[in-house]
Amino acid sequence: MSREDSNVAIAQRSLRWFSFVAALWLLLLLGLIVWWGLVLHNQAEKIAELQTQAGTSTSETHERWLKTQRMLMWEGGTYIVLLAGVSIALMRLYLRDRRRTNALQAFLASVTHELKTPLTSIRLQAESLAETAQSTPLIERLLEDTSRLEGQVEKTLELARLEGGGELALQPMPIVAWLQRFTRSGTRNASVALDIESAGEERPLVLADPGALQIVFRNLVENTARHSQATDARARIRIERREDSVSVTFADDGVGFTGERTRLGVLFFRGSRSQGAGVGLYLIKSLMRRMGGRADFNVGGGPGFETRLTFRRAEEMA
Amino acid sequence: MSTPPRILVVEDEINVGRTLSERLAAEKYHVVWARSATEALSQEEQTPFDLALLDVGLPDGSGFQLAGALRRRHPQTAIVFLTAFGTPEDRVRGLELGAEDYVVKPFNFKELNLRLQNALRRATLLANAEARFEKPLQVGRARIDLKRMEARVDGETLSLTHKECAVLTLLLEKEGAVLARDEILDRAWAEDEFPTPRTVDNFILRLRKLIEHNPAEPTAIKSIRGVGYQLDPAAVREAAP
Repeated sequence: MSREDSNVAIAQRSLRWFSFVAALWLLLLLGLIVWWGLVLHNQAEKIAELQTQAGTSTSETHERWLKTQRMLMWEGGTYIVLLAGVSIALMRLYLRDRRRTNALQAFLASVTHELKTPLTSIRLQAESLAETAQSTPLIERLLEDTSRLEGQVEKTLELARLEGGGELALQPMPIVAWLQRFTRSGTRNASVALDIESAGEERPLVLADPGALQIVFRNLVENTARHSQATDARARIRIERREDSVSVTFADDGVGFTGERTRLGVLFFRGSRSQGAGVGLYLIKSLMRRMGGRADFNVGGGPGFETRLTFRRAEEMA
Repeated sequence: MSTPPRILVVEDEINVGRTLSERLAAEKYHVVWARSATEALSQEEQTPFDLALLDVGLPDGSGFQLAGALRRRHPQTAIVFLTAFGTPEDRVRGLELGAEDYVVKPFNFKELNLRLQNALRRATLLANAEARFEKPLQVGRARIDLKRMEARVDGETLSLTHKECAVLTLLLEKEGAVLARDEILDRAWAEDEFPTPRTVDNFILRLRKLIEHNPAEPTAIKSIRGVGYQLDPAAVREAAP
């Protein structure tokens, strides 16, 4: 399967790097041993020569000097052996830990992935029910919960992929057109209304990965739906072109955030009023960083929660 | 289209396959559901389809391999992948195989339907081109057969993707006149693909490598600064049999 191929390629690349660093370290250690031996040998020869010149080279001083040499050899040797031993132990520990982490990530990704097929079936059937039968609040709730579950699955998979070294495919994207289309069909939360406002240039291009953009904005919409005080939540998206970047501000009408702002975007950090798992904002931050931009949270002075996304501008050929 | 478009759904999960087929049939498509690659190939052998909706993970092979086999048999069939894998690598691989689109599970049915309609719209553009340019054409140094979606260059036969054929068709339709970048974007790309004018330029570069004797100094496809491209009528003639 292509996902497995890609994971294997990432693991192999990482192992190649580790082997290269380990080989370099061992080579350095070997160089240190040889250099130490040579210095000791040269010093011994020099001292013996000086003793002969000074006429103090008696069998007693010679014996004492040999004893000191043996002591230095033993101490130095023990130190180097310990250093090599600790290095090898650290390498083994690192490899074991990495294998365990990889196995856990693969397990998490595979379980989450397995959830996608039944979820597809549930959504298809719930949508059919909503369209064919008389739509009841029960079906609406079923669809809402399906969306929530889909969001969790998407976040867990993306987290496992990013932590496993997964890459993005960056391309120039017309952000305004993309957001307009996103508001029409990609939000997954029908109860959130999005108002888009673009200042300046009509179609600024940003450097982004389409899949990553989807995850970033779905998470923001999900947060809006979760923290809104009104039944029909609303968020304003403002796009501004800067000299070498494009700023997208997403401001919702929710309850806002009153805690420690610097901790927003830290993995597994949850605000006191948050019902999430503490993954959404972390993913937004990580994905924005990987796209060469940044995400700043709670930047507005208003009552809701405001996120500012800064994208790199993509240059176009005239 | 006067007859309903024929769609081949290849999905091994019974609940997903059945519900999807029923919902597509309710949208007035003629739907055939296959649960494996073997079954899909056997169905396709009987009658070609306008569009194949392929699950990537199949019990007897991958959807990517099946797409290759389907395209070899009937290049006009538009391919849309349906998959639980949504990584950029998978998406790029699917689109590189000449797929029209790549839909990640779980999906919203309306969204899927919209994408299928777009893919079918582009397939229709090609079908019309086939009827109009039924005989192979010599464009620059390449012998282009739009019906078989092939190009023959220096004795080597290369497969053309749906998009390459679509852009070539547009250039041929407007032979001698200027074709604006925006028109190419509107007609050859789907609404949800978000191509930029640069995407068109890159595509033209690829076509030039195929048909121009010297791609660095193009004579067949000329750039019209700030507007688009123009296919020189002198570079097009009926191909020798």
